[in-house]
Amino acid sequence: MTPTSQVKILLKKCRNGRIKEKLKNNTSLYLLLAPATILLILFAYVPMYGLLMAFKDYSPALGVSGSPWVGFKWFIQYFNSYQFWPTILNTLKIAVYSIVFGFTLPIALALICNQIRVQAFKKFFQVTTYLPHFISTMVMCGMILLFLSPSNGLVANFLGIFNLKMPDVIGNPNAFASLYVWSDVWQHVGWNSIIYLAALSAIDPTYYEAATMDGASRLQQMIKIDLPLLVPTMMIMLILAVGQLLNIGFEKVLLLQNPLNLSGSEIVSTYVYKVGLKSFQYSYSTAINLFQTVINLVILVTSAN
Amino acid sequence: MKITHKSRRPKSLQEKIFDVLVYGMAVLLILLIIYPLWFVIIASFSNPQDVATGAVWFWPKSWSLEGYKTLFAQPLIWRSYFNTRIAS
Repeated sequence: MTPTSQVKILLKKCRNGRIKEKLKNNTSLYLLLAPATILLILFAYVPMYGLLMAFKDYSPALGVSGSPWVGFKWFIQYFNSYQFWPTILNTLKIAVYSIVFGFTLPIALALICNQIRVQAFKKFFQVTTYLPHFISTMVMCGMILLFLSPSNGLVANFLGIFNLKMPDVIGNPNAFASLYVWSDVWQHVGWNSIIYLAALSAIDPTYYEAATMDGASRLQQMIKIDLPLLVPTMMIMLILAVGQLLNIGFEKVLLLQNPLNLSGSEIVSTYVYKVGLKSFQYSYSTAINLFQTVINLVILVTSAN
Repeated sequence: MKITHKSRRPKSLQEKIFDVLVYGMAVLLILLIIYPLWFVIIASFSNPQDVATGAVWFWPKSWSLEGYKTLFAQPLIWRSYFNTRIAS
């Protein structure tokens, strides 16, 4: 035996021993960790086995392991399909649009709410802004269609008083991103501002006292004290939001889709749904979804660093 | 959070403008959020024709429970609520 291999064996023994020792010393801690780990493996990692479908010509009769391998066939088919660029661009457009407004407006709302000095009014303001969050997506889409209907919707009736014609927001592919993002902002802005309000209420009051002594106005206090102290919270929320970047609310897009605005509203996940679950091309839809997940992961990792 | 300067000194003009802006925006936002919700409620109690022609604005017009009658006449509604509760 050469000396190096002996060292290796020794090292191995040492390491194994350490692991056993660690297990022995911290049994209760590892037991606490076990349920979460098992759940994660069962429900997150085991289903990933299905991703193999993206590289196979899957047929339900043969099963995942029995289907023949086809390499990157499905990916290439997606890259060459006429739906590739429209779906990717629509997804990115809606995602970036909703991050820009869905991320900044809750901060603005929290800053405004924080400046309200009458406590009863502040409570009322908070409760009313939270309310729409509890409307289900299905009902929300029904409301959007009712209010914005170009013929007899609420907004159309209101504009009709001034003899203005309601533009067709629902059937216009260029307006879809705005429709989606602004209705989402309306629904969730209050709820998303809760965490910022919590961060604001944790700010040490002595900062404000000192600033008032120095003659800072409340607007200056807002910009020079509130905003900088919100930055850590903002960073966390931004990373969380970027992680969900391409996971746009699938049901809502599907419910608001119609043949007229399809060119502006077909996103990757609705396309996957149509291809996979409606026309049964399981492998193709798995490949598309895997591609989207990989992009999402790349964006998340680059933004987190 | 309370700021300790109880208005011992009179509010400056700048501060007054700031207050007006803050409360103005708050009221505007409340209206923007409350009105659609309120409209859904009053529309549910109004005559369907009046809702479609835009006669309903702030208060239910020609009070009717027609919508609820149709809703509860559906035999599936109770089954659906039951399933929803099971699922959640």
